[in-house]
Amino acid sequence: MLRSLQIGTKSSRSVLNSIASQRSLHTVPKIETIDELKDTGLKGLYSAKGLESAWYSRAQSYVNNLNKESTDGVAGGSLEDIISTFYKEPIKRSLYENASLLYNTKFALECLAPINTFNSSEEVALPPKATVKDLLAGPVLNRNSAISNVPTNNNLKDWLVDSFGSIVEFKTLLLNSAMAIKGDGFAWLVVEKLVRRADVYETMFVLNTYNCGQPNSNASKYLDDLKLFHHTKEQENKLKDPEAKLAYEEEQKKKNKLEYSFQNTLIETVDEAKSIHHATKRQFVPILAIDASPKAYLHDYGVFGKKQYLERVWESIDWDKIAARLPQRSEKLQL
Amino acid sequence: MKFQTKALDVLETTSHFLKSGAVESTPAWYTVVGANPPFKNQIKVPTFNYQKVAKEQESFLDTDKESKAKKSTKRFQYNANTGFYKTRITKGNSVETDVYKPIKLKFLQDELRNLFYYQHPWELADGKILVEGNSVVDYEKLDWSSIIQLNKKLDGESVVQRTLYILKDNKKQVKQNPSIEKISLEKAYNQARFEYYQIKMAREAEVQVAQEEATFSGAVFKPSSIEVGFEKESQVLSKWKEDALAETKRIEALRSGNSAGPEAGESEGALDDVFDDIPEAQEESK
Repeated sequence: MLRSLQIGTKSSRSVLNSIASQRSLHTVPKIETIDELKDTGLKGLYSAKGLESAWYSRAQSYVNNLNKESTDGVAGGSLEDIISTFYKEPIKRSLYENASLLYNTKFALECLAPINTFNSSEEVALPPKATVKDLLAGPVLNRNSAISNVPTNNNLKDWLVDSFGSIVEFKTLLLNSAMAIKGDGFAWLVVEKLVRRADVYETMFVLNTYNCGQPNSNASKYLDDLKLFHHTKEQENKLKDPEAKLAYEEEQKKKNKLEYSFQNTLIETVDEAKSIHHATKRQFVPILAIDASPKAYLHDYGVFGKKQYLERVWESIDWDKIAARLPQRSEKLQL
Repeated sequence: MKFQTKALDVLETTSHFLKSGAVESTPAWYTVVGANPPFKNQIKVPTFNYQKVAKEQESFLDTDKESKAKKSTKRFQYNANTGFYKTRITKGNSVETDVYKPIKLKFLQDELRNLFYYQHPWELADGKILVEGNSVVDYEKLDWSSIIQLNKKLDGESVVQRTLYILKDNKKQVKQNPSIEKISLEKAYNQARFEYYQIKMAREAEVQVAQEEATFSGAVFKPSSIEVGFEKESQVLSKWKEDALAETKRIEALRSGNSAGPEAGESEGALDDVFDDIPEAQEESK
């Protein structure tokens, strides 16, 4: 394990040096559309106090932590730089964590705009705080009326429909995955980027990140690397001892002999799927993020109000901004 | 053989024995059987199916001749020309025995349940607790204003009960305010069904995300019981295949009538194989 750490620090030393030269203290990032509404709150989603606790006070604490950690002049530069540099550095983990959380929260807030789809001022007012009884409330079905605040951009609309079947299905999947996060986390809409001769953007996915994870550098990568490290070391040890080597080979033979083995079926285990995912050269381009952390909704919606909060978030999504983030869609290869 | 009822007299016999002293202490079941004596009359007395007959008699209340004629049954034949009923028993309309048959129980719940499980056969694969006890929940007594229940698992039964609730609730509302649209059975069923789908989807996401979230925090899950079972089963199957092949070879050899021993050339080769496995023999040959 120590060896792997040393390798990690060596490879990023040059980057560290370059960042150190342009050291600057971090401040709370500016979001133009949100900063205008600091005193009034985000219409239909956050009260002024709710916005304060969902963004300003939170961002301030992340920034304070960042500055505390970077006293030695290590971490200046943009949030993206810090994230990519310290992503695999266990020693400077808190730098990555705070930068990542700040980046994600900012990204999620940038997707939002005051709600325009509601007609009366009563609707715009925040819903009454949910109680324990609301946990048992059944779903409200309005199959006759279409869902409101759907994307208007044709390119985005078509892409979503191609990837998820329909906008309703997409909404259900996105909100359900956000709803299912128990701790801190974000639900993302991402475009898969396959690195071939030219970058290929074909499919959209809904993806969750937990705690301070990033769509491209999930917190699990560290654990996966650790697992891989232990696994290879185990294999090496096994092959060192001739007797153990023989036993190992025999075991493998036996395994291959089992015609009905679970491993031999076409069904992939989660670990196999993960290793395949890591092996392929692909990345995710984040398009939309929903903040599913309790910090985002506790003040205005209460402990049991996550469902109402998520519904309001859907109403607040600024689809024009989302559409502007889209990469050029690749044409599907016809075989 | 005559109908045997002697065993049913166990209480009387034992009392007699106790009195006479043939049995010294009272058996443990004595008071219980005394409190709940066995039913001795084994002859089933047919009960007249009043409901069926009353339903047939409905045609008496009709004023319209045509509808009367339509509703006339074998037992009550209406003659449109004379305006009379023929109720006398003749060869043609002898009293049907089904009047004494028990009434067939018909419930809307059963039809809904059958429909749901016909449309969603895999829901039958969902596990269900069949143990009865003090905690048995009477589904009809629960509040079905929401399909989610605290002490009832979400399954096909929930859809059935929710459908009934929607119908009942709608009926009540229409009574209070006639301008409200009346909900048909189909619409109520569909509403309950779609609510069911919504919650199923949410719960599926919940399970997946919970596992993922735990994994990202370092949790390692053991192979599931299905995987373990699959692995065990495959071991048995592979062993069975090996044995079966060997057995088939043996049977085929017997059938071909080649029951003579191995030929000279073969036996030498076979012996070589045996010697290879014995270390002492290898040393000697060197």
